[in-house]
Amino acid sequence: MDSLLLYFPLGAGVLSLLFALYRVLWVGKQDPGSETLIEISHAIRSGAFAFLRREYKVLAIIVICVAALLVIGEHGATRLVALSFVVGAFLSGTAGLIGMHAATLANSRTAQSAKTGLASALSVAFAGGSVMGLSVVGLGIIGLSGLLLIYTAIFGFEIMTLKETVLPIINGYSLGASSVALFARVGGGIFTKAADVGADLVGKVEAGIPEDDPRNPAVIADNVGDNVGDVAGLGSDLCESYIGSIIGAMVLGGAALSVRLVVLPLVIAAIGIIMSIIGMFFVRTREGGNPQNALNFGTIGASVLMLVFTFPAVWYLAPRTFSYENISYSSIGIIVAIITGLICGVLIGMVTEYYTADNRKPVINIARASTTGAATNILGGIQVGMVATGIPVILLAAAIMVAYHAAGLYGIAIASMGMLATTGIQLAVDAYGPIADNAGGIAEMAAMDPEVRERTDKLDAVGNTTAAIGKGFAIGSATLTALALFVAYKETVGLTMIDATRPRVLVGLLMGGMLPYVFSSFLIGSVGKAAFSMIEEVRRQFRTIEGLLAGKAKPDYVKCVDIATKAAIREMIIPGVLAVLIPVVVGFFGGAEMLGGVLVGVMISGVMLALFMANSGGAWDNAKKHIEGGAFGGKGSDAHKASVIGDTVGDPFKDTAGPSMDILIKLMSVVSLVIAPIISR
Amino acid sequence: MKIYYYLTVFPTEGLIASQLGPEDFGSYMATGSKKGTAEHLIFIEVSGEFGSYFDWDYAIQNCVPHSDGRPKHSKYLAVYRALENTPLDKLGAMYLTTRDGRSVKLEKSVYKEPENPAEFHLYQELCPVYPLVVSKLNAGNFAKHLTSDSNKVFVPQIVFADLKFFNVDDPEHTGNIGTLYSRNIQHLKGCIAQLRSSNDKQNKTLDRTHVESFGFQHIGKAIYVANSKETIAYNMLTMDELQRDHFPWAKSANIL
Repeated sequence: MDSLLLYFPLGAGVLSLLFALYRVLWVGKQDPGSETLIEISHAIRSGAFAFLRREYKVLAIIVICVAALLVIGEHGATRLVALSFVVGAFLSGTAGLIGMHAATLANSRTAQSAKTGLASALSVAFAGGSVMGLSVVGLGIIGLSGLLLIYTAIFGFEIMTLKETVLPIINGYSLGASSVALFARVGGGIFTKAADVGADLVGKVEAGIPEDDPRNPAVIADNVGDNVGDVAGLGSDLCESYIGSIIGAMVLGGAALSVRLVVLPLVIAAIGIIMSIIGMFFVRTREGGNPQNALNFGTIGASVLMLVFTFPAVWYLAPRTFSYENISYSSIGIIVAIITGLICGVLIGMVTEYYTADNRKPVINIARASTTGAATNILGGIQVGMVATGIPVILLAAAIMVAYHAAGLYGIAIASMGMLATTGIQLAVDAYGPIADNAGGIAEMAAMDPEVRERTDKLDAVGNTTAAIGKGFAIGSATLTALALFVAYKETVGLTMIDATRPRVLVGLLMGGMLPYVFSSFLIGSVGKAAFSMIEEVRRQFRTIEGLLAGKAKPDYVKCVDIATKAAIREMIIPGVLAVLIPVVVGFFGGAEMLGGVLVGVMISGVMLALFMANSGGAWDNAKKHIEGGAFGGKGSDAHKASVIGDTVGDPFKDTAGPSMDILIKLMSVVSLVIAPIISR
Repeated sequence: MKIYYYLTVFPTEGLIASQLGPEDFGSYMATGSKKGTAEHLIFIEVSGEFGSYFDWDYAIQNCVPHSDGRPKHSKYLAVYRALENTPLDKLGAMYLTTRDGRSVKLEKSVYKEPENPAEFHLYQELCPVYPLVVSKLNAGNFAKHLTSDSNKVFVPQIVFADLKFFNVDDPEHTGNIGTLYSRNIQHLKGCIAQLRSSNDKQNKTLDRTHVESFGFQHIGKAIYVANSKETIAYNMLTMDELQRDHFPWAKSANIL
């Protein structure tokens, strides 16, 4: 009977993909606009797919190598972990591909729809974003429940079989998704910021041409970057969070020796998918309305519905009582944990929004600090980024304590499910941002009417806020997921405690604390190097192409896309491979305890760095926007020049290194979880 | 090919003969033939050939197409006292060219006294002298003050811009005024206070080097060209006009 429950998430996944297909067909039927619009959109689209093709070629090699190592390293039935890994990697990559297809289809159509009005432009942009959200959750859950159905058909559905055979094999699925996510995030992040910084520094600062001006050779690369970084990268990131949180909860359900606690996370995820689809129908606005309200209505509506329907599911499915480490918990505790996770996610998002919104005190203070130069602007941003770690960490600590007391370690894992169950609509809202941003850029490049630009600007401004909230959610869920995966690791290797006074653990803690810094250094250095190549190329084109600035000759956009692509692919390999190798090396040479220390160290310093970089980067960006809105002298003022420097420093923080931290901490945890059975032998 | 004559008044003074029309001339002057420069400029169309100060024959003989048929970009006739020697009735439309080579045209009009004059005005002198001045005088009277030979120090003709005036006590709502909001804002407050407290003092020099960071976003109502007898105005386009008809220029000029 319990095994039949697995068809429910499978069905929800299929429904999600069918709805995604319907949405993408609908977007495709919208008016693509004038020839100029189609031409610009095509350039962005072909650039984005050229990048993905090359990235996926490299990833395919890495996936094959890791799968081979897993086959060699594991033994017996657990060799199937390699199959799970390949499926996870393939579906994560596919989700990114589908999302990118929809986003690049929707961008010019959003610009064209903005001619009719704000409401129709919002519909197209959100429909494009929703394809990403629906594909991620659909593919994620189809893969997971499908593999579970296959493995349980082979090995059985008894709790000990699940715990000792099936779930360790399923962990490979999370590893596959995480690996692709890390490379997609790192590669996309390097691409997008290299193009952005290159386009801004030469175009805006040196040549004095405005943003999104078609005369700038890096402008298409900049728009491609929005897609490969913020759509494909973000999609893979949340895909692995989503899968990681489900698997973390399943493993801990297995540790509680309850089949139903193993299946429950999948059922909650399935409910979340259906509620996300319903919530998407709430996202609509009338002409002159506020798109932010429409998006909030959709996400909050989906979350409320999710809670309403989760209650009977938990009540029916979860055992009335279950015990963990000899402490008894009730099924009500699971509901409390889910609500706690959801509230914590929303609150972290709100705190992030407070620290990064351009009309709030922290950002205004950075803008004011810019009037005395770049140094004070930088100090202001660092200060905001540091202080912004405070409340989210306290919220996370509170959520962990509440969830733990309500439902034990299972509660912590299920709390992250509370945050991520409605990933479908959350990701749709997140992916809507870059589509709106692209639409604005295309409207500028195609010199569309002022009303169109005004509407796309309005949609874009909403996208910035949703991006900030999305980052808060991503960091919060990453922490809880990493914690759940860490606990699952501890259970699998049979560690009863991690004693920080033992030298091996202490060494592990120190090493782990250091890794996010070194990893960030790699990424920030890579952006700098790639941006340098881009700047040289843009300068060359301005210098050598006759009539470029006069608008009589076209720049070589392809060359700039190519430079960013090559740099991103080249630079993503070392940090990506290190993130996978380090837990393996530490695990085999330092032992399970030291690896445990590494995971704790990575989680603590990674979360702090992620919060710091996301908030400081966002605050610098919006301090610049606040000044450009007409404060402290506005555009061209000394304060503006200082804020541009701050924003440039913050770009790789918030869009490259910061988001990669979320994946790093989860990837290292999941790698450890996968090798845990080998280490424990 | 037709020869055009342009009086450049910012950043340098000169009279230039060219076979390029105003838009192309602006683009060429801003970005250079090798695209190695990025400088904004102000120039005025001049209907030649008048008077004897400029060598018009030299222009006609030398402002000829290149051997490959390309038009002659520029032939300088003067880089000194060009404004002084150009009668106001010979001036045509004014062009403001951004650093990336986009131009907008301002039409010549007769200066009219403002109906509700402000208490203070900011004026950026552009040619042939360059101070940034805060003044109690409206543009017409300011022009007379600068060009009247009854003053100990005067110039025969002047180009100056009336700049946006902002509330110095509300830094968060200055608008896009660029370098006008400088780190030396206290000095501006002091100058205003001095003018307020003195009935005799009409003008106070704020800065002698601000012209180096002058931008089109600073311009308030108009740019004026004047001598002791006459003031002509080149009225700045309204925000609506810029938004509707000159969006790319206004973005390049940091106004939008």
